[in-house]
Amino acid sequence: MRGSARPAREPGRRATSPLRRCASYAGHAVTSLVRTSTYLRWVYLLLGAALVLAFILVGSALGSVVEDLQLPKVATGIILAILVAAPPLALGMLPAVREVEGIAVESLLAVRFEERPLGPARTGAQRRRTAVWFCLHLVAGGVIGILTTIIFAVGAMWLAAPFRSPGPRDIVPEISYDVSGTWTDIWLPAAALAGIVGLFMLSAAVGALLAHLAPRVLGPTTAERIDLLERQTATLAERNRLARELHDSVGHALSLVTIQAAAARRVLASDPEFAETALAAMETSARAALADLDHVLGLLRDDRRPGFRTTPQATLGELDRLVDATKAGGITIELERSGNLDGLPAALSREAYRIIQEGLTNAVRHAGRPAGELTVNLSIRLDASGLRLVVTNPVSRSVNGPADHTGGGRGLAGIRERVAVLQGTVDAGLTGDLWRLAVTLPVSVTTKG
Amino acid sequence: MNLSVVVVDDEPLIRSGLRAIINAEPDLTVVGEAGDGAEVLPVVRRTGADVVLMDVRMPAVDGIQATRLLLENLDPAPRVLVVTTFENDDYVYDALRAGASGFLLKRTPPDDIIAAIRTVAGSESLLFPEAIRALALAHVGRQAARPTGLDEFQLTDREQEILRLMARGLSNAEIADELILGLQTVKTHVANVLAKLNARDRTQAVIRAYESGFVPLH
Repeated sequence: MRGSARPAREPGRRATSPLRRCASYAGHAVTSLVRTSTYLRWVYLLLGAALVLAFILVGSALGSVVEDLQLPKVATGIILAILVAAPPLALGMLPAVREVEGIAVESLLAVRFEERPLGPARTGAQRRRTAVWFCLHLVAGGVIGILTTIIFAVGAMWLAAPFRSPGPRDIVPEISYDVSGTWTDIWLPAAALAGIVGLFMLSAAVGALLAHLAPRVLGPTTAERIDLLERQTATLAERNRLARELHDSVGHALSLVTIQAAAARRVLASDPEFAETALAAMETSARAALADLDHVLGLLRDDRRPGFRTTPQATLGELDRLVDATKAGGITIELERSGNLDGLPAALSREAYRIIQEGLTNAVRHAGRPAGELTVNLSIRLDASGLRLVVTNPVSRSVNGPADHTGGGRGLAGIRERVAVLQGTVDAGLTGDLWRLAVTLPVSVTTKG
Repeated sequence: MNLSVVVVDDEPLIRSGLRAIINAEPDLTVVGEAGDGAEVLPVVRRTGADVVLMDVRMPAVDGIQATRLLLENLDPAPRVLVVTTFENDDYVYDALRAGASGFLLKRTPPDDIIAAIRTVAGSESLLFPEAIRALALAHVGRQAARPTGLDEFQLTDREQEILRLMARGLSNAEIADELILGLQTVKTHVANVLAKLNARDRTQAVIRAYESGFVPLH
């Protein structure tokens, strides 16, 4: 065995010379013409161009008014600059723009954001970054839009030029060319085709640049990503807890049904009375297990998709029932409420109900004392400043120590999540032996419920 | 041989089901029930039951504590058979370490429930050796593995051999066949192993063999 058939050249050494690299780029540019992504990018840029056109119309209308005012040149210049820049910036600050741009960028520029789907801007920083992105979209789109208009308008004339009768013809407005009707005219359609090819190559390049920038400008920042991850983890933990509970409750019910069925079968002849009782017990347990299954699966389903909700969520209208149910466990609840809670928007009322429910559950969970000795103070106040919910309850120091409560549990994480969506504030902490959860929700808020 | 059984579970319907299944056997009788671990000791003391079917999770006193109470306070103590809903219940292993002789799933077919009661009462063989190995593996896997062996107990070569066969679930008769020994000899060896390991039954001895690394878990 002597030597091998492998070529001497090492595979890793290819495409390092500048010539090869240029060839590679050129190849890349040429193949971009047959890729769908090129034309999707072009469409994204044209959307920007269409928006630019709208802003230009508004700007020029207002601009002519300003010029009529006969102000000093500097003042006119400043006002015109503001008139040009302000509308796109203002529009870009709208929270919904982030959502819309997110969809367009995902589908047309094939960018996958870490936050999926990209929601409306929630913070000031997100709004500002969206405005920057929006302006980038407009500028890039404007340039490509203008080039597109010119190349297609002029290109049509140039493509047609050789077929026209000889003589001087306008090939660009006010510039005429002597069409000879021979092969020498071929440069016109060739130039037109080159222009079109160049346009799409440029679109592909600009689109690629935007796609590269989109996650950085439009997507979540590092802090937001961490926050997002934490929330996902909390949701996952909550889901695991629900799954465990489901496993426990359904497992219990099915064991019971199995044992009762086995017993009934054994004594069917000797003790029909027992068999009948057993059947009734099986029916009841199976039914209860199904109800549990329904309930927990309802919670496990993504509740951001409203169509997936099986049962309507309770609102503050059902508060009395919740309080009574909690009291049934032997707990004393001191309830104060003021304001017309029935007038609240349904989505807000639903969330408030769930926050109170979480608060009461946590109060019972961390009480560390028999239900008979637990008093929970619940205050619900609605006024011009918003809806204020306060749950105050004693917590055990002995079981976990106070340090355990300052970080807040999963229940609290859930509350924070709900409140963040409603743009409210959460204040939770320990004062002596009392745990106090205070939530304020702005009432005029619009929600997606 | 007539066996008396006490059924412990916080769910009355599980108790009534188990009672009906057990009472359907001519040689088994449920002589008492308890709804919580705290009630077990008086019931067993009064009835002198041979076997206790013990739920693990109960509101006030759980099955592990109740098992411990029984073994500390009664002599002879009844055999405890832990009854559980889930296979991978962490408490089951704790109950076995506390002195329970075996465990059963609530979904076990009635014939196997009956067989399990007879097995633990007879103490001639290990109940569900494979499941006990799996539980020990899961449990020892969570601890820092530092096999200590069983040298301190000074088992003879023959006793060590027999302990290994016990862990595989062989009954006394099967061990006798395997080693070509008389049944009575095997019984004596088994009794010696249990005495040296200070184990109340085969289950305890086998758990000790696994935890010490004497019998490999893999």
